Amino acid sequence: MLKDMMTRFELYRPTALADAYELIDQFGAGAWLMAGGQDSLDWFKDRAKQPRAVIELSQIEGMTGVRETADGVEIGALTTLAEIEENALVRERYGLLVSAASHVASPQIRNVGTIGGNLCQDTRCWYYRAGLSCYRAGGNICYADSPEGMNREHCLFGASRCVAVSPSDTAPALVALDASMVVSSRKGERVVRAERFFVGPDVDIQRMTALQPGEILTAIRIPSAFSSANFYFEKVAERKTWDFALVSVAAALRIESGTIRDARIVCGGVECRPRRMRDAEDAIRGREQNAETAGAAARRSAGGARPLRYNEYKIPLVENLVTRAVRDA
Amino acid sequence: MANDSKFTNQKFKLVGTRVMRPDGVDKVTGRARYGADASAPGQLVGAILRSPHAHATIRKIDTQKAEKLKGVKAVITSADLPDFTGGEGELYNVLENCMARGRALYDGHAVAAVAAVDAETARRALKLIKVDYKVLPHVTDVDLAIKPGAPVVQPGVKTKDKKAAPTNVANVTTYGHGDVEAGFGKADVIIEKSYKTEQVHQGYIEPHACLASVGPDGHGELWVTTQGPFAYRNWCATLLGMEMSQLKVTSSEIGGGFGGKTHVWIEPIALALSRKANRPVKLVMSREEVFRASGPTSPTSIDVRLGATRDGRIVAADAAMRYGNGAFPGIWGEVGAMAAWACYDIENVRSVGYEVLLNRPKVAAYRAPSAPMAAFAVESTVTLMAEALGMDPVEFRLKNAAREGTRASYGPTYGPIGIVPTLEAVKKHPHMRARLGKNQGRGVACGFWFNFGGQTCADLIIDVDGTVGLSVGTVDVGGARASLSLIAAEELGIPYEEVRCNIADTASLGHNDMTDGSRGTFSSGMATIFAARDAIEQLRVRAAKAWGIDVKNVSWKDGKAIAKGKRKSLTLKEIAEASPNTGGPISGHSQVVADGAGVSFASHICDVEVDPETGGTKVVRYTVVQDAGKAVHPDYVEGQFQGGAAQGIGWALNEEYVYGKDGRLQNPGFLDYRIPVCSDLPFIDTQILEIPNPNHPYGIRGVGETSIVPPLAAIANAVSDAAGVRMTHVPMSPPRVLAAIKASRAEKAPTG
Ligand SMILES: Cc1cc2nc3c(=O)[nH]c(=O)nc-3n(C[C@H](O)[C@H](O)[C@H](O)COP(=O)(O)OP(=O)(O)OC[C@H]3O[C@@H](n4cnc5c(N)ncnc54)[C@H](O)[C@@H]3O)c2cc1C
Repeated sequence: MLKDMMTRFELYRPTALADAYELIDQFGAGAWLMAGGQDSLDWFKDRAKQPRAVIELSQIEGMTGVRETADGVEIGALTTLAEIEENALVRERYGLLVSAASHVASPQIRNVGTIGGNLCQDTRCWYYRAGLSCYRAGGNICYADSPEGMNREHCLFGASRCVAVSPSDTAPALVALDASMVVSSRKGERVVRAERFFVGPDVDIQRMTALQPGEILTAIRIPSAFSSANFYFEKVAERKTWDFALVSVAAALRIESGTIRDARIVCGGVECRPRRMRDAEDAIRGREQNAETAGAAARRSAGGARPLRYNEYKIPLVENLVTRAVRDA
Repeated sequence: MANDSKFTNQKFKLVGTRVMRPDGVDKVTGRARYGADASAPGQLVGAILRSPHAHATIRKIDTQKAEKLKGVKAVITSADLPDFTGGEGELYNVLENCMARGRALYDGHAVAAVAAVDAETARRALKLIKVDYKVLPHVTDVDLAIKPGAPVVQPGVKTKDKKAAPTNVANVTTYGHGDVEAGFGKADVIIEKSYKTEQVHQGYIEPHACLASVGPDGHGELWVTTQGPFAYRNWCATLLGMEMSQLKVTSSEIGGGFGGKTHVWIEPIALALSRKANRPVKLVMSREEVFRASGPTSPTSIDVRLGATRDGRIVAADAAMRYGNGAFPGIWGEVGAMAAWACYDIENVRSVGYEVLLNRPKVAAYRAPSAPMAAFAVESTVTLMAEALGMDPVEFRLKNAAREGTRASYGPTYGPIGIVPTLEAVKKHPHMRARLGKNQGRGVACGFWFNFGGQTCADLIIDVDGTVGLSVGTVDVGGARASLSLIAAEELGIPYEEVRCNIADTASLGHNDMTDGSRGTFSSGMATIFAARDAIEQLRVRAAKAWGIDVKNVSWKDGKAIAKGKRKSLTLKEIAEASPNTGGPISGHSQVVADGAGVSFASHICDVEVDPETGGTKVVRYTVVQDAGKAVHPDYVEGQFQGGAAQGIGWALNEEYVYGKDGRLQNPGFLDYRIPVCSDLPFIDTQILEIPNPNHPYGIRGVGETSIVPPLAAIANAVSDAAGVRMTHVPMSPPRVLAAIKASRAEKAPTG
């Protein structure tokens, strides 16, 4: 395979959403939305995706920056991860997102990569990325889950023919913060809870989000419910930077005089979407924040896990990360 | 005098200083030209079709459609590379590895190639080539490959001394002396352990790249990133049926090689394409191709048995070392067997190396090839033994270390060597006394490398303005131009800035062996000294002529000719300026087989912190102590020490070729093949010892390789210390550490 050489495409840089919709209509399945390009260009260079028209969103007005709203903040989808890391408002209230964003890839990639792109990026399953025609690519097999497959990076939960995992570091944080996604199209705007925005292969095996063709993610809204709560983020990867999570945990805990009033605990790297640890959350609500409570959460975090041949190690990882999240948030 | 390599024990003025490297500015400004930076008028772009199968018979290759595509100027298969090698031996293997001949032996094996007017067309042409494969069973694991019934990689290969059926063991070599079994009989404590290391790649930043041009008259030129232009010339010329003098090879700047650029891969293909198309062809590997189809180092599986008496003396040592060679036989198990016990003085010692064939790419050298895995197994066991005897691991090593006069397990008797001094330095180092925190552990390990010398040739020209041009034939991989300029300036007695070192092409200088085996500064340094001495002879003759005295009465000191007894002197510059009228150009020349490369030893200390809940390992402190003989340029010596340790850290903790059961490489890219980046490394502290090599005028030993030998073991000893469980499988990635901790807890838990 010859790499680093993209096939020809037309590049469009619309300045208004309406123009972007127009272009999407015009090119249909041949259109590709691009924000910072950090995921997109990889696909193009590998020639696994060959769009006819690339619609770059960066020139559209009003899609960047962080705004305070009546109930929290709204972050433009085209805001770079570096901007989010540095934003005073986000730092003050949503340290969890800052921490998650700062663990993405490398500083260079964060300078260009956007939050919208990070949330909409495709999975890193190496069979799928190699351009093989697996279920996710429209084929009829999952290479990672075949008797021959190497699947140490793949999922514990929610497999449905495909065993890929969601690679985004910011997605678990936004689910933990109970954020919502503002999705726009020619037909208007709809708001989708983060938890429902990310979808598994059981819902749609070729897409990782609820976005439909013609829809653009314009903003992310984070409510004040967990503003300045106790947060915990940790990502286990083989390298300290420039590496995807084997498992990550993002937790937001509301703690009043030592008692956990509310909790949202989410793991990355274990399912095709960020996995909310509801059983663990239920187990700790109303209890004191201590090692014992943390242990109780851990015991309820990996129930139902179905390890593949090479990824059983992820189970103790999930348990240990949840323990730490509850204990140290 | 000119070619006397005896150690001079002189006081240096320049050697040992930290001057600026001559290639530095070009490299940081982007002006330096690497393999892919050359272009020629009318140049075509080459591309290679590679086997997607680990093992297959190639029934038929249909190139017709590709040939007809507009813009395609040549399509080649093995049929365009007739066999000039006689059909067997190492050269034939090189030929077959460059392009499959009737069978594909690993995922990524080249099958056909095209040259076209642009990359896009070349790529489309590849898609039009139809290859009819019959897929065969394959084997990629060292231990599985030697099991009875395993698929046979090379039916023609039979283990020596065995009339049996073909196997995947291409060769067995044994080293050692004494009576090992009798030795174990005397031992109070015997430790036996098995180890495994995964395959890793050198990971040089610059992929293989070349520009080849063969004209209708049969003469050719090759611009290429290589560690050895002369060797590349010889191989390429032979494989293409050319005279050696018909091919001129010029080495580009090199973006790292570490042994991976001591073998030809795409170069013969580029030349064959150019010859067929009658146009220059540029061929550049993608990173994926580098991983799949260049030469990573061996995966290994090693069993070690060590016996010692209660007072801490090793009385017997034995190792069985299985090294994956990829699809073609090599010498990697043998080198591992030679290096295994080299640090110690052992009465009864044996090591057996097995060359195991696999459906993986042909293994190439990687920085002290084979020694790091041997050291991992041996040094882990040595620490286990020290623990079993209740001795300090450094004391235990000191007690058994080789010294001057020790007979090495691989044969020779050592001269003055550095293993004891490095261990003494480790003992005294403040690192050893630093307190360890929670979940932290410390490991120590030693390492050895042979170092090479070999054929070397150098020219030193004195220009009429008195500046000096030095031409050497060893590619500068690690700062050698600075070191060699320092040596020339030292010998001549002129400032460093007045010497410019150039890497000659194969048409401009006599043969030079490759830059490998840490030989660059040792060998070319020696040749430079001899060439300078030769030039000085002539400078003296010219001065004598000017003064009308006998040359015997002219001495050379501090860059000047001095007349004996008279107060007359002439500087190098003055003699050079007069040279057109005193006999013409002045230049020194030397050609030697640089024997006597001094062996090299190192001892490393490593502290790690292991997170028992995630299996993640952080290297918190690292110290390298190594003997350099003489550190000509201390910065670059330290750089070599640090670089070797950094590569060792990646190897120990993260790097690994992951093959699926289908025999395909799953992680051929830097994202999934995890080389450590800056944030994964601590500052690597270094301490240079200088135990002069008696066989070099300046006492130089090679320094480039030994530093990668101890890290696997040092880190394994540290991780085992921190995690409380012995790690025997490298890389020690989070999944593996976590699994080991879990297994050891299950083992320790009371049953029932
Ligand atoms: C080497 C490397 C390492 C990485 N490591 C990590 C890591 O550790 N953690 C991590 O989380 N990520 C990692 N990434 C992924 C990277 O962070 C994301 O690719 C990046 O954030 C994507 O942002 P972008 O703006 O560049 O996306 P783009 O490439 O522009 O877009 C990505 C995808 O999202 C779609 N898209 C983008 N914006 C919108 C929008 N507004 N509406 C609808 N669809 C949209 C695009 O069509 C495309 O399919 C890594 C990437 C690389 C190349």
